[in-house]
Formats: sequence, C-alpha cells, structure tokens
Amino acid sequence: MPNRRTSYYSSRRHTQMNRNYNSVSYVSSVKLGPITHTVLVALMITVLGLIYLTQATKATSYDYAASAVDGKIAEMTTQKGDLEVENARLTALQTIKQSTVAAAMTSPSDTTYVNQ
Amino acid sequence: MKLLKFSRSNRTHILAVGVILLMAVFVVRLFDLQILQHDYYSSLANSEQVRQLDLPAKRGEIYMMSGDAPIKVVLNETVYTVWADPHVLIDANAVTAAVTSAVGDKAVSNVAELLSDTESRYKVLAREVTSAEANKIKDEHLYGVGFTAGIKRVYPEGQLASQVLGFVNADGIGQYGVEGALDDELKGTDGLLKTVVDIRDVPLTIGSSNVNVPARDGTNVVLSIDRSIQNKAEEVLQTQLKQIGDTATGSMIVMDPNTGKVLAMASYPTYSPEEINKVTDLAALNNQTITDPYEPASVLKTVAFSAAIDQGVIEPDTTYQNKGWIQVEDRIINNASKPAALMGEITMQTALNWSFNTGAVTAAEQLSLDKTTVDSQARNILYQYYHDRLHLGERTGIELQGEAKGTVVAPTDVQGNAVRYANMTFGQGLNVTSLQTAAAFSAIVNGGVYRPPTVVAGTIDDVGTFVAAEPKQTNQALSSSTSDKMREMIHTARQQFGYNNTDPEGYYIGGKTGTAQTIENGEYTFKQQTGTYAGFGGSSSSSPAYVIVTHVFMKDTQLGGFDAKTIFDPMSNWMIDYLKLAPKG
Amino acid sequence: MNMETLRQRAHRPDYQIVLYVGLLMLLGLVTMYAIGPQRAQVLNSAYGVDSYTGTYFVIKQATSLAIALGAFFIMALVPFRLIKQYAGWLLIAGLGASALLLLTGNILHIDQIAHCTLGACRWFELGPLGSFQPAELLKFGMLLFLARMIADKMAKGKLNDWEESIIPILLVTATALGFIVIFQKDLGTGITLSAIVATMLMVAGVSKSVGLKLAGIALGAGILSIIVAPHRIARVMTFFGGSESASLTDASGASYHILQAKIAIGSGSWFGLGIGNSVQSTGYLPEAINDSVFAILGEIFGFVGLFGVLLLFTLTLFRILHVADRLREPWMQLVAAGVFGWLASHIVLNIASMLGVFPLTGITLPLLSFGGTSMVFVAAAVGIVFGMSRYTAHEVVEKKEAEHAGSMRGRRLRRTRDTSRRGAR
Repeated sequence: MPNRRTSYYSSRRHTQMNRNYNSVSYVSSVKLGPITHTVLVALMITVLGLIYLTQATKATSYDYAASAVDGKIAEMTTQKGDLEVENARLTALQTIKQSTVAAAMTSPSDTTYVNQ
Repeated sequence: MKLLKFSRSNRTHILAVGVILLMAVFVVRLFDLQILQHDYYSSLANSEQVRQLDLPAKRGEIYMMSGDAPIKVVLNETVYTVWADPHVLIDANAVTAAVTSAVGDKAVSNVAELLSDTESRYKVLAREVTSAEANKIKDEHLYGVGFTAGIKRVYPEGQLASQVLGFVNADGIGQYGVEGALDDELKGTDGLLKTVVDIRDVPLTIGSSNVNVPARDGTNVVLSIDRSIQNKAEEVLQTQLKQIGDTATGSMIVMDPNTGKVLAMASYPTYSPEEINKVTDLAALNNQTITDPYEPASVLKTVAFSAAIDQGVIEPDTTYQNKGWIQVEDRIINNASKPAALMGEITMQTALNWSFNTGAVTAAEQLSLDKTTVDSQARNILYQYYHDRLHLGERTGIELQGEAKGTVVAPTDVQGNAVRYANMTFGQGLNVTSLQTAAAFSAIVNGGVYRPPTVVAGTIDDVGTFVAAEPKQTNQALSSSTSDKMREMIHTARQQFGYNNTDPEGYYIGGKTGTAQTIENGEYTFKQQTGTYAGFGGSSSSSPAYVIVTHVFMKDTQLGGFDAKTIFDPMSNWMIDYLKLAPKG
Repeated sequence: MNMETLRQRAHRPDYQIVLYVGLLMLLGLVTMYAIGPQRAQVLNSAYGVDSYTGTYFVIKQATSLAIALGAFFIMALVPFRLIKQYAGWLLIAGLGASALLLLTGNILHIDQIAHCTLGACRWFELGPLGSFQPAELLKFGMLLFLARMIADKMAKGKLNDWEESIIPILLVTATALGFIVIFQKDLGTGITLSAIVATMLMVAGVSKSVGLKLAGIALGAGILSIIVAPHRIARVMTFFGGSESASLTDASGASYHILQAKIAIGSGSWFGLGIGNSVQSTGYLPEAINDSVFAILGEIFGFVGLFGVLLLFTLTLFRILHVADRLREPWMQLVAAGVFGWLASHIVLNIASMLGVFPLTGITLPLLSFGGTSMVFVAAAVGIVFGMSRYTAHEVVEKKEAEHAGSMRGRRLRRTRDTSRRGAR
C-alpha cells in the first residue's frame, strides 16, 4: 500500500523495507568492558537463580501452612459440631418439657376460628 | 598435568594420591548407591515417606420437621479415644489422675494397672471422650498420651422415633430404620489421600505421585416425620397401652393422606438409641408398623366395599338379606354379633356399621358372574383392588430397613380359593403391615389416589438449603366418587355405638375397627385377639387432613378394634388442634 | 630471608582457592535456604514452639558466612610474623576455653553457659551471639603452634629425635586430645586433630620408623577410646553388622542415621530430586543441616551434583597442597599441610560415614554444614593458606633446597616473578 503521509518519496522508488529506518545510529559513549560484562551476567544469573530458589522452596513452607490451616479447620469444625449438638440438646423436646418455663404453661381452654 | 605435580621429598604426593584414591572410592560408592541401588533406596524412601490416609466422609445428619422447619435429630459428634504408650510414659500417676478427673466414668476402671505394663506401646484409657474433656487432658501436656478422633452419632431427642431412625453399629454401618435403608446415601464416599509426608505425617506436595480424592460427605436427610406429632404419638400410644395392660404392645401411624407423607410412626416397646447396648428385648428395635404383618380384620372391609362400589355393583344403600351367617362353598362364615333386629334386609352401610362379615362377602359376591359366589372373576377383581391398586401384600418401598412384604394370595394360587377371598373381604386370610393398611386407607379417603408412603421429605444440601424429595409414582386406585362414598360410609360407621362421642363438634371424622383372631401354633384362637383402628379426620367431608392407623396386641388377651380406637381418639383430637383445623358449622 | 623481604616480593595470590571455597559456601547457603524451613518445622514441632521461622537457618548461615569471610581475609592479610608470634597464645586460649568448659559444664553444671548433651559438654552458650565450640579454637591453636614447634625442630635437624621433638609434640597433642576426646567425648574432632598433627609430621619429613611407631600409638589410643565408650562401640558394631530393615523402625540408633543418609543419597539418582523436593530433611534424616548435609545434597542434586561437590573439595585440597609444596619457609609449609589435614580429615570422615564406608563420627562437612564456629575457623585456616599463596615459588620447593635456602636465593626470586606474570595472564 502506498504511503500517503509523505510526499517526498514515492513507493516506486523506495521499498517498504527502507522507509522508516533511521539512517543514523546512536552509539553509547559508555563502553562496557569484559569484566563488567562478566559481573553483569553473573548478577543476572544470581538474580534468576534466587527467583527460582524462592519459587522452588516455597512449596514445603506452604505445605506446613496448609497443614496448620487444615488443623485449625478440623478444630473449628469439631467446635461447631459440639455447639450444634449442645444446641440440639437444649432445644430437644425432652429438655423443653422439663424446663421450668414449660411447667408454668397452661393449655388454651378454648380456640376460636375465623371462618372464611 | 600441573595439578598432580607434587613434591616427592615433601611427601605431598602421598597425600595427593591418598586424596585421589579416597575420592575415587567415594565416587564408586556414590555410583553404587545412587545409580545401581537407586531402585532399592527409592523403594525404602517410598515405604517410609508415603502414607495412604483415608479421608473419612462425614455421615449425613438426619432432620425431622418441626412445623415447616427441619431440625436436626441425629447429629455427629467428634469423640476421642484416649490412649497411652506406657513404654515412653514419664509420669504414670499424673496420667491416671488427669484422665480420671477429666472423663470420669468413661475411663476404663484399671488405668493405673494398664499403665504399669511398660512393655506395651498402646493401652486405651477411655473411649467416647468429648472434645471438651479431651482438651482438659491435653492441657496437662502429658508425654506419651495420644488421642484418636472418631465420630459418634448423637440423639438429642432421646428415644423419639428411635425405630424410624435406626442406629449405626460399631462398624459404622446403619442398622434398622432410615440409617439402615439409606445407609449408602448417608455414609457418603470416603476420600483417599496418598501422599508424601514428613516424619510427623504432615502431607507434603513433594513428588508427582500424590493422590488426593476428597471425601464426599453423606446426604443430610430430612424426614417427613413431624417432631411434635411423633412425640405426641409416642406419648398417647404409651399412655393408652398402659391403660390396656402392662404387657400390651402396639403401634400407631399418622399420615397425611394427600401426600403419602408419614407424620408419625410409633411402636411400643421402644428404646433409646444412645443406650442401644442396654436393650435386652430385641423386639424393641422393631418398627412394628413395617416389620409385623398381621390380619387387620374388619378395617379391610373398607377395601372390599370400595372395590364393589368402584365396580358399580353396589351402593352404600344397596340392601341384602342378612342371616347372621353366609355359606361360601363348604364353609359357614358367621357374623361376630347377631342382633335379632338386624336379621333380614339391611343396607351395606348398616353391615359396615355393625361390621357384619355377611355384608362384605355379599359385596364381593356381587362382583361375580352369577352374583352369588366368589368366583374367579370376583377373585380377580378383588385381587386387583387389594394388591394391584392398593398395594396390600406388597412392600410399600418406604425408606426404612426391614420392611415385610406380607401376603395377599393371588387367585391363580391354589390357596387363592373362594373361601380365602371371602375371608379377605373382612380382612382375614391375608397378612399386611399397618403401613400397608394406612397407605390403602389413605387412598380410599383421599379421592382414590394411592400414594406410596414415605418418611423422607427431602434433603439438606451443603449450604443448608432444604431440597424437597421427588414425589413418588402414584396411581388412581378408585374413582373419586367411590372415595367420596367410602368417606361417608366410614364417617357414618364411626357414629355407631357412640364411637364418635369424644370427637369435637364441627369436624368430619371417620374410622373403622378391626378385630382378628390370631394364629397361635398354626390355629386361629379366640383367646388372643388383636385390634386395629383406621380413621381419618378433617374440617369437612371433602378434606381429610390426616389418617391414623393404630394397632394393639397383648399375649393371651382378647383385644379388639375398640382398644385400638382408644389410641386413635386422643391422637385425632390432638391433631385437629395441632393442624389448626377450622371447624365447619 | 626474612619476612619483610617476602612481603615485598608478594605476587598475586591463588584466586582458585577463593573460587572453590566461595562456591562451596554458596552451595551450603543455598542448601540452608532450601531445607531451612523443614528443619525449622522439625524443631518447632519437637519443642512445641514456633520460634524458628523458615528463614532462620539461612539467615544464621549467611551471618556465619559473613563472619567466616571476614576471618578468611583477615587471616590472609595479617602479617605471618604476628600469626607465628601469637600461635602459642592461641593454643593457650584454646586450652583455656576447653578447661573453662570442663569447669562450667562437667564440674559446676552451669547449664546457662555450658551446653551439654548426654554428659558431653562441647559448647558455650553465648546468648544472642549464638554458641561457641572451644574445640575449633583448640584445633586452630594446635595447627599454628605445632607448625612452629615442628619447624623449630626441623631447623635444629632433630625432628626424628624422640626426646627432643617427638615426645614434646606428643605431649602437646595428648593434652589437647585429652580435653576433646575424654571430656568433650568428641572422637571425631579428636581424629581431625590427630590428622592435622600427622599431616604436618609427614610433610616435615619424620623417618619411616618414627612414623610407624607414631601410627601404632595413634591406633592404640583410638582403639582404647572406642573400647571405653559404649556409644562408640555401638557405632562400630552398627558399621560391621546390623540389618537395615530393622533400623527403619528404631529411630534412635546409629544404624537409623546411616540408613536414612543412604536413603537420601540413594533416592537422588543421576540428577537428584531438585531443590525444594527434599523429603529426608523433613525429619527423617537426623542432623540434616549439619553433619548429614552431604546426604541431603545427594538427594537434591543427585550423583552429578555430589560428583561436583567432591570435585570442588578435591580441587580445594589440591590447591592447598599446591601452595604447601611451593612455600619455602618450613613453618608456612607445615601450616598449609596442617590445613590440608584439617580439611581432608573432616571431608573424608564425614562423607565416608554418610556413604556407610566408615563408622559414624559426627563431624561437620567443612564450608557446607550449618554451624558458625566450625565455619569461621575453617575459613580462617584456609585464609592463612590463601595469604601464603602470594609467596609461592614457581617450581616445587624440594626439601634440600628449603633447608639450604640461602644459596638458592637469586634463582628463586626470579622464578617468583615468573609465577606472578603467569597469574596475571
């Protein structure tokens, strides 16, 4: 597709390949010596190694954390179960019948119904 | 090689050679251990590092209805077995003191003696210790004492509905009742964890061969049994049986005839599941309403009349000649009572009121070709109604373990002769459970629809939401007009003898007694009779709200339908109050 | 030639030593990082606490390494004249510390200061500073003091004279061994100490007859020390017999320790299970981070990894021997030889027991094991050798030349310059 933005070049004379290439390249004035190079590469390897290490060794710590949480869940579940049992015992008919509140209750003598 | 250029005179070459030799030995040894013997050590590592742990599924809990809301009646409680390793124990006296003070009776009687056996590695000190009690012991930080968690079923309602619920045996298998019948659903599926563990059995996610199949917990089942109705039923049953006699036994079923749901199901004698080990009479474990088929007698006249009316061969006011007896082939069948005033032409209604066997047999004869015998056509029709439509002599499929089938002899059977079928019209010569009777009776009064009885209302899912059970397959056993006529007949029958005198004003209540001789040593005996009462109640003639079937039995005693009725009456009245039925003017 | 001349003539040191030592230290640190959390968990559950965090051991090891590197370079830079001068004081300090440990631990039983297990008191508890093992200081003192003493005897030409040299050397050694083997009940360290002395005597050039007699004495003392201690007999018995299947269940015996080490090593195969995948360190293998670290390395890095570790150790030892061979001053040569003996005995005893080819002795693997005192003194000892490597000759220094050092001066200086040039290439 011909480039319509510039009028200086026609697509016929310049191939797409060349169009947007800079003709001047920038060269850094800072030259890296071989020692700096080695040190940098060593540093990069160290950092990568450290990242790998952190990832690889985390697993077992997580296992122990997970195991601790599992233990807590089990404990809480047991506690919840105990409370439910206690609740069920307290609201059981047997318990209610024997309660002082129930003993003081009387049966309704008469019930009136509203006929629709 | 520069590296190996060492001085001979300094003897460093000896040291260097020594180092090389030793290192060579090490490398060879390493190759041996790590490569050649790798499989051996790998398997050793596996055997000590990999554990296969069962992840027990939580057994489903059982609920009952309390009005509209499900409440738990069977729960799981975590209990601990407390054990000690006498071999490593440091302070046996402290352990003895801590265990006995924390758990009391649950401790074995000879703790100190067990602990003195220092060769042993495992001695159980107490069982079924609650977590609160276990924590008291744990707080003492005793070395050499361990706890193994287990699950125990708890029954906060005590003996309420124990025969319906059943229990779980020591192997964790449901026995009797719902626990037995729905064992597969309740127990769930155990999970499996095969994993590398550390030395304290903490699972590690190291390695690729770990297997983790989580447990699928059992289903939480909600029973259709209503806690209050059940409680009242048990109370009434026990009170009334005590009035009848010390050794009287019996049962009661309360059903909703419009749904097939069993609201209460009581048997006496009963037991408390928490004291299952104290039960001496195994009969107490039985739910008589499903395990003990018997002859409900005249109660089933309602079935014979239903069949005849449904076939259009009689109406309630159809008359016949009552002689007080009737001959079927070579047998004479007598009425239980023969009042002179009722000899001659009487209606079918009167026959039902007085429970005349002649009426029931006559109704059956109307189904035959010649209208005078119980021929094969009559027998086929009767069998169709008794067995095929109302499912007598067939398991109802209720979700309770140990349901008996009963017997209704088919007309194709040699035994299925005219005499037998004549007997069947007044509820003898067959064996059915009270639950079958209750289900058939419900169909007769509810508009003719047979609904298989059920004790399961639904389930409670993981998040605590109630999910109603799928309704069971029903069948139209009778036409609704037959049902209307039968309701009226049964209602009228209850008026007889002032049987209705305890009924509240403004309600439509019906019922039928049944008294059967029982078979003792293969012979029918009059000395020992059993009574049944089947009844229904509701605000109006068109809306039966409950069906109650009661049954009483006492050894060597003549009991009858009237005795069973004494249980029906207070229960029926209470139901009217409980269901808040409005009276119709 | 005096010291000052040597200092002026210093050339580039042998950086290979730093490279190998550094790699080993780094490997140790990585291992601590990888298995520290497991070790912390084991200790936490054993004592019912949660005071050990996952990074506790790697941080402690890093701290130890920092101190050890400090000691390494200080010893490398400090003038040898001073080291030689104060060698006696170091020995006295080591003996004094051992005596103090004996007093506070075995006699007064002050648990806050002396750390004792099963009647063996080996450590001082220094509160927040950690702990200190006097035996390591004693080894260090012995190394420097005996090197000077033997060099003196050599200078007088009376090395093989029993009354003049052998018996005094034996007396000094026996005193130190007495503290270590009898009171601290630490046969492993005793063997190491003997190895240091033996290496120095060997390099110093004792005659074969004297050497054989000394070896006989050492063997006798060794057998005696095993016979009098039941746990040592048990370890030796374990080594020479005892079934492996039985030891899986009994977690207390020495055979259990060895078997667990073998399981760790054996499950490594060619390339190991990989970092973070060590299971034996989660409590199965006793002393996973110190004495048994070699087995854990085998589990993690496999045959290839352990081969690398062995190679690093071999190269380190060879560099030390290389330095020893090229030092002209007999005292310096003996110090380097002693350091070789020290390292070699630790390495060989530790690895041999982990591989089940020698009874369990319970000593650390230098530069890799967790443990501050041992790390610091090993680093200091190797640091001295590193410092001395600046004064090596290009060619092997033969004994005759060393004894007549004066006549060879000119040639040697030239050679030294050659060495220097080669190193800078």
